[in-house]
Amino acid sequence: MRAAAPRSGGGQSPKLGARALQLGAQQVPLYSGAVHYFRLKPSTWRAALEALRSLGLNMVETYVPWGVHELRDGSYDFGQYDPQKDLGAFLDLAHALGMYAFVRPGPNINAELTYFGLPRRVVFDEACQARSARGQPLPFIAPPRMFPVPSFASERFFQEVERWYAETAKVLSTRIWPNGPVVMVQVDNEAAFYFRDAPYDHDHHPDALAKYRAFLQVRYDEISVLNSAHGTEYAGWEGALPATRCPPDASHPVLRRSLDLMEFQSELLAGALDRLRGMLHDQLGPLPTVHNSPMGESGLPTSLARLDQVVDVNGLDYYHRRSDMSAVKARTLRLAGSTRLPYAPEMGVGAPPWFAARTDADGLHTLLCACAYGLRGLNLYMAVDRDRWYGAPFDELARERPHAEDLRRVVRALHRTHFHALKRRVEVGIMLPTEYARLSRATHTLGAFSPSLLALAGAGADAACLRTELGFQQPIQLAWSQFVMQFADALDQARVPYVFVESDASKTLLEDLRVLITPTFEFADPKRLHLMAYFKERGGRVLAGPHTPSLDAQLQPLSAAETRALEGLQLCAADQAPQLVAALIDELDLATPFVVEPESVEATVHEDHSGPRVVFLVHTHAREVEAELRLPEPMVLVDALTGERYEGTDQVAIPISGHACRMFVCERTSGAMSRSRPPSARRSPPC
Amino acid sequence: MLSTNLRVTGFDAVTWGRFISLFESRRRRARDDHRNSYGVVVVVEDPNGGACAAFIGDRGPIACDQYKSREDLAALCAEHGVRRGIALKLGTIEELTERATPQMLRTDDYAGQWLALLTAARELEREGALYFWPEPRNVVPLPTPQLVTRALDVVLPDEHSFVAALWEDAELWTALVLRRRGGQFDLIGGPELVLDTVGPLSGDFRRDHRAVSRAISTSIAPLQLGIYTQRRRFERLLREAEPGAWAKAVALREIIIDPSPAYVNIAVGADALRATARRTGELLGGIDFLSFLEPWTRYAREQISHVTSVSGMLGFNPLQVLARRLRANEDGTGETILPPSDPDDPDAEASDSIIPQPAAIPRERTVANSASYEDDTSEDPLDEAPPEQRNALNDEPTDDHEAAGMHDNSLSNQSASRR
Repeated sequence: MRAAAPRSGGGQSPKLGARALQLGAQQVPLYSGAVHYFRLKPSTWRAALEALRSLGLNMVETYVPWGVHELRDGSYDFGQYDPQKDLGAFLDLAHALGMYAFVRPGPNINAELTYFGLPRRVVFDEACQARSARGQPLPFIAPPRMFPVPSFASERFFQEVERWYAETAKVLSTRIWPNGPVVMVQVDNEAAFYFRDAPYDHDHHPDALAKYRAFLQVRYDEISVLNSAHGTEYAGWEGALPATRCPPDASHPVLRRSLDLMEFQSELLAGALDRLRGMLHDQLGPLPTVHNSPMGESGLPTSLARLDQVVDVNGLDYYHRRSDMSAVKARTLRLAGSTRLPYAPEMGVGAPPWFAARTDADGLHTLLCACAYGLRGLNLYMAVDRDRWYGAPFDELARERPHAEDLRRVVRALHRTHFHALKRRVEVGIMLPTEYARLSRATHTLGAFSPSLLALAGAGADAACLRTELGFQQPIQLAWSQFVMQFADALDQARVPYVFVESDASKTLLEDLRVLITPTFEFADPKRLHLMAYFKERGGRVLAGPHTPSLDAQLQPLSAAETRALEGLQLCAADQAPQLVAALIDELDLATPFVVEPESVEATVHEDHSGPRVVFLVHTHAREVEAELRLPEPMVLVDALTGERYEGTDQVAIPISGHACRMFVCERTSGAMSRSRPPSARRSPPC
Repeated sequence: MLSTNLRVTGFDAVTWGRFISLFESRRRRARDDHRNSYGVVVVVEDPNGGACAAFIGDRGPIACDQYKSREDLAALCAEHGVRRGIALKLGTIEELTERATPQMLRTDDYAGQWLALLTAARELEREGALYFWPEPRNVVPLPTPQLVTRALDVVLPDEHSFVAALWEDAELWTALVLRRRGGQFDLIGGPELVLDTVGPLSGDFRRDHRAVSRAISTSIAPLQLGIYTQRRRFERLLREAEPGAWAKAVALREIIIDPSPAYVNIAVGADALRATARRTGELLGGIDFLSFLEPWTRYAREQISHVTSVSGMLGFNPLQVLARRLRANEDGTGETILPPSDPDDPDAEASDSIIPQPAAIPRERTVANSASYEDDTSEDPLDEAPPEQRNALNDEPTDDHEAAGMHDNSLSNQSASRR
């Protein structure tokens, strides 16, 4: 059912540019704050929105909870009975205050709501439930009630969602910019099978099995070919079942069966999101769409890049502690290298009470650190406190808390420097092979205790992988990430900026890179090999290794054409990383930011056409230090939070606390710069 | 246990962090490097018993080629400097989730759902699919959901509230408000809720408690139990081993318990008795001056036997478990269960002063003493299990008479040993 067409807006609609929303002639960066209208008294809404504006934010984000709006009899309440549910009134108020709105109608919203915001009747509808290999529902342990998670393949579930979207569209569609504040919409939420994302958890729902068989049919065409590939003996397609485990002594056919399952799961999720996106598009028109991948991204069923192909912006949620800045760095570099617009749909300010406790400083330093490594848009979640949350800058009555001022200053600095439009000069990419990530998932041994949970815990997504070689020279499922980390460490030591590029990322993300480093073992995805060849042809340098692949991602011999893509491949071993990086620096004069000592401090520089505009110092150790920062020219660095000024001609000394990130706005003292290359690109001799 | 409409409100990051910190060991709070011996080695065993995967919880994969059987788990832990290990057969977690799912979804109670999961885990442990090192002694028994509900009914009856408010000097440092409604907790509130409900406070908890009690009773639900004290006092009491610590704090008004339900009064009184008995025993060279009171205390207990005990219902004393855990972690042992006293070692000291000294315990009772929380003299104000409700952890048949004597306090133990 399609909602009423929006009133005429002169043919305008919100669009997403390279780094910001394009609303007519105006560019609007993606800075927003979360306010849950349905959890606050309507009498507080105005104060909450004004609190948001006082932070310097002109966009409000809110979930639209299905389970709250749907009544027991299947009808909906959008304010007809309970004014607290009057989404329309809330959006109208935002519009009247000159604000924009980023809406998130789910279906899954989590938001610490019971059943993640889904109606109970849908959750307990057996036709909607995901199924285990033994046909059982898959409960997730969220408080206050564990519930069986829905299936991303269930036709019944999609029908229910379509009805829900149609209901929300009755409210939203008439309020889309320029007729109202709505400028962006999120598709679903943290799509990772509701955190039952372990490799063999999902999904034996009949609709999922049908999709799985269809996937196999496309790949193998004939059942005999499938049986040969998987080492199975199915009489027909209807008998084909997903693997339930990868045994330690798996032969390649058995391994292939698991790898196919991992790829299918990725496509199942991406396909489901695409279908939901299409439903929203049908109801709301071509609004920019967003999705948010959850934490533990290195162990998720699908890559950031894959989902970035489905929606306009696929971002990451951040709920780290300040002691986790290495993790913040790694994931932001992955986001920056693999998606078109590095964005945080949830930049956690505070946390739910059932997370590990976070302080105000945790939220602040996580935000700064993510910006340091390339984040270009963020949504403060939450900006105004609500039930089952603590730590927002404003409480439930929109009264300001002390740490609001810090956030206000950061937002002010982001606006003042046009931070969303700045660039970080990065010339090195470490490519993360999706096929090896799938191998790590396929060899996971801890059942429902998924790779993403292990990644979240700090053990790494591959912590519980089989240690067996599986017919290769080494356990690739463990070795590939070692290769990646050794090169990352070497680049860190050499102070060379880099990003992580997922191998299914868009080619356009390679354009600014000059070096690509990627692990290759006995098997590799031909698409990745072609990408590497393409990169070389464009004049880039490729470092790969330690082995030349001879098999493709299905563990079948590479074709002649695929093998040609490997010609001229410079193979290397991970333990050569420091020497290779040093050689690259010398040979290619790779860009390095402002040199800083000691080793535990890193500097990142964000520039525009005029040169450096913002410098961050990131300190990952526990003790306070005084950082010695080399300056390429005389300048003043002004701390965005404290206003402290550090002026120098070629060097400044800046104290920095343990586990901290400081943001400085650059003010030049010698007039406009004119040089053939930005100063950060010149490598200064070590001091 | 938790309402689907549970509301959690009234905390900011500071006051929430403070609340959590009460239950963290100081040692854990002090460390800033999480990569230390607080990790856990996890080994996944292949069908032959060797390791096919191994990692440390917060570090990542580890080599495990030397692991051939569970006997190697301790050595693997030692090699990596961690104090705990878990070994599980390949497929255990899958089996766990499949087994637990029907029961988890059959109940509409969150505690019941977790108990279903834990019960399945215990089953798998008994079957050998799951193994913990070091092997837990004095394992806390899993109560049934009904027992949990009954225990909660004792502590916080339906349509009642609880508040614990802690001051640091004149500032309300943090607070916890709980309300139970329809048999479930539907409100967890913090200090902002307290202040919004009661208004400005004077800063002296000995005066403010009345206003807080009144305001919460009026605005939230009739107050069943209120605890008001300075933060440091509360932290010490949580960890206190000495009998009488709580009674003394109440007597000196270092802690206000208002209102104070019957079971608290009895427990505090019993705590005072125990302290007195121990002290007199020490002062008088082991002569149990108050032993003549024993029949009277038993008589009093029989008269109040309708006051049921949390510990008796659950089969363990939750406050005691918490206190031991906090103390153990701060001692650096990493042990959650205290080792039994060695009856043959004259120099052995109980590592917990609430366990009677070895010399004071008749030898034939020692093993039973050490195996049962219920045998300990407890500082727990909530622990007043009538003998018929105690649950012997080592499945020995309860001897009510003997159990009563052992449980009441250390009087009879000491008097028996010193005769």
